[in-house]
Amino acid sequence: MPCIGCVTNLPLSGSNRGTDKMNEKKILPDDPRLTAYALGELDAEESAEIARAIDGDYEAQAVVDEVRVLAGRLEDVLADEPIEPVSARQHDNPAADLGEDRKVLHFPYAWAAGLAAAACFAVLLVLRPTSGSRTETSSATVAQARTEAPIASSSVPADTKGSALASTEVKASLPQVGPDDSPISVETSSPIPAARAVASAEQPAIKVVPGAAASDGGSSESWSGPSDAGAIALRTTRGAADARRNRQLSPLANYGSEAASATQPHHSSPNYAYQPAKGFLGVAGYPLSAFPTVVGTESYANVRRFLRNGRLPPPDSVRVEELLNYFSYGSIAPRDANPLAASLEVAAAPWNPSHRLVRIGLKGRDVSELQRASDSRPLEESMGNGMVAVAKDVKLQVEFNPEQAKSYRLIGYDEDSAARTDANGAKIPGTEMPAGHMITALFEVVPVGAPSDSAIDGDPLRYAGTESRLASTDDPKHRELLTLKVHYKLPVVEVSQKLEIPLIDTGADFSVASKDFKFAAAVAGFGMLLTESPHKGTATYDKVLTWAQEGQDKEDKSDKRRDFIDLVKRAKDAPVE
Amino acid sequence: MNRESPNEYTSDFVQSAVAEYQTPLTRYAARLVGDPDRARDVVQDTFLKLMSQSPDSLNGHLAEWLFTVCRHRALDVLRKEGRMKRFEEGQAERVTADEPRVSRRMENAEIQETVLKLIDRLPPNQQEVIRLKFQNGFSYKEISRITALSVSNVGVLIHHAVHRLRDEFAAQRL
Repeated sequence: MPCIGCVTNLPLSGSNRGTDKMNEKKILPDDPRLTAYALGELDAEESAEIARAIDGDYEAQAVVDEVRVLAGRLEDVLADEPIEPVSARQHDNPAADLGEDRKVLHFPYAWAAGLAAAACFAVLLVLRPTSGSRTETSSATVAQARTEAPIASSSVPADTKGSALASTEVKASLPQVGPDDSPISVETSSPIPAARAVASAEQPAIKVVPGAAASDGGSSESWSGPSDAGAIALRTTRGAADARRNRQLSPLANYGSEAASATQPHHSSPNYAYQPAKGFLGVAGYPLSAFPTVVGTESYANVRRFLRNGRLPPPDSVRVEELLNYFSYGSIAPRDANPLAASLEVAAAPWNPSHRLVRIGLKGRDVSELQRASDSRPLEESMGNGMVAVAKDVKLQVEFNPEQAKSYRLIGYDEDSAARTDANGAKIPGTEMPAGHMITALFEVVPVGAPSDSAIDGDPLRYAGTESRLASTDDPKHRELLTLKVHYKLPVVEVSQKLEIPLIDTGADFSVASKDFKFAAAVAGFGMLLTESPHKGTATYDKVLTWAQEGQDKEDKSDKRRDFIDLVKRAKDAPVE
Repeated sequence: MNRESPNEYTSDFVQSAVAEYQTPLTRYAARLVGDPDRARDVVQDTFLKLMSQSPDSLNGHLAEWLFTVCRHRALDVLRKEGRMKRFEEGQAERVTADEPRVSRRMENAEIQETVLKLIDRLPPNQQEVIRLKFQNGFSYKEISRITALSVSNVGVLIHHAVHRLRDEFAAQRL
């Protein structure tokens, strides 16, 4: 039997790791055995040897992770590779040359050009300040919208009436601002479809944001207040009003917990650097949770590869959020000229019925629809270079109401997070929302009044003072479990927009949840089993199978859900190593 | 009757093999010989050879056998056309034209196309093992038998290809 480790021509590094074993050497990141290990190509003995050697070696572990991610991507891409080689295809299909021969070396030029364009925007913005008086009006409008439009089960669309009352499903489209409003930052707070008419009709203009002028779009200014150079001219004429607006626009406005300003999570890249939370977070200390607009789906291919080879994937190679987002879930399409639409649903967590499970979906408009919408023509033009984001600087946050939620966790992502104690979390870089793209996030929430749970770490029960502030009024806010907050800008126009969608939990049981909800729960449960998560509760492969089968969508032409069910069966039968 | 039975058996066997492997084999061969038409001939020859095989002798190794034979046949074609050098040298890389790239998120179809292009820029021997591994699901050992390379050689080729692709993905923000 060939032994890859024995015959490899790349020698081990001579440096001793200083462990108790004399013969245990550090494995270089460039050692082919690491690749073989990551791909499951080593026999059990060699595999165990490598596992020992890289224990605590984070560099090597990162390499292993990367190889697995890449392997999954290659499998996905190569599965659809045309028979004709590229050289034979090129003449037939000029579009195939789109990605040809890009060189990183040239990136700075494009970047510099972007800067120049951004500078033009900055000038535009200074030239067209908005009137301060509109500010007051619109703040009032927003406040009114919130109180007049409590989101109750009545906002459920007719087509889901059957399960509507039980599993509150709130769907709302985001309003769009036309090019005429470009220099104005519009903060549209429209809790519910009912409130939407009010909010968009009056076009509340609250805050002038000086474009993403000074940066190239990747990192933008904090949305909790004007902070970069372009804002100065505006700020001098505004002073006090800005301060008041900023307070109002602060992410803490809804449920008013003081602690959060120092604890906002933040993420720096849409993929792996994003690390929100380990275990459950107390709402009192951490009322806000952010999640990215885009996650990879490579982990699913990796899981599939291992299971089709009859083996369970290594627990640390499984990323639950990637499994979750490998699938698409029903979500209303953005209507009219809106770039985004969100859907929320809550029901019992099937692996722990005393917990609530919240599914949040946000979908970007399809390109084809975008092009049909006449008022998006300027957008189309700007997409000449292939830009297909329907919204940019998108920041997704969930604020939990301490009156309803005791603690929560964002399912998936890296459970070991330094982000939650990041005092600079207020600066959350926005990400783009690609056309037609959908992001799905699941939160497991421990409601107030739930039996205490050993899974909750720390002491999450001290929400000093937060309840009295809300409970003293008839504000329907205090019935809300959480609010989804979406900040975004349209691709061309440097206009900040904001949408808030509160969710009221009517106590639905898992059995009456939608198919999509059940399927998403099945995927999460599967991920928790594969990762040996301490939060898996009563989940088993058999139960996951049941949830997935209940969530099977007959119209799923891609067969993805059927394949998933096959993988669950394989996992169930796979020998535990 | 005596003659017909084994023939029918064989014919079913070949037909199901064609149904299952024609596409992956053609894709594989097209990369070796450079164009789909020659590749179809190569695959045709491969299945002709299969017809003279006893199904039992290939039990459990059908895919490996087909890819091995297909590869031999493809290399024969290259040899006859004097193009073998391209393959043996293995290290020749296409000259790439420069073009500024724009920082943006690409559409799925575009990402797919770009990744394929990056793969196509790998040295041919790396491309081959990458496709055998990630497109056709062969293990290092199976690839070693198909390509007549040592297992460690296969491991090194895949390793280099994977790491080069990783770097290029990162550079392109894929």
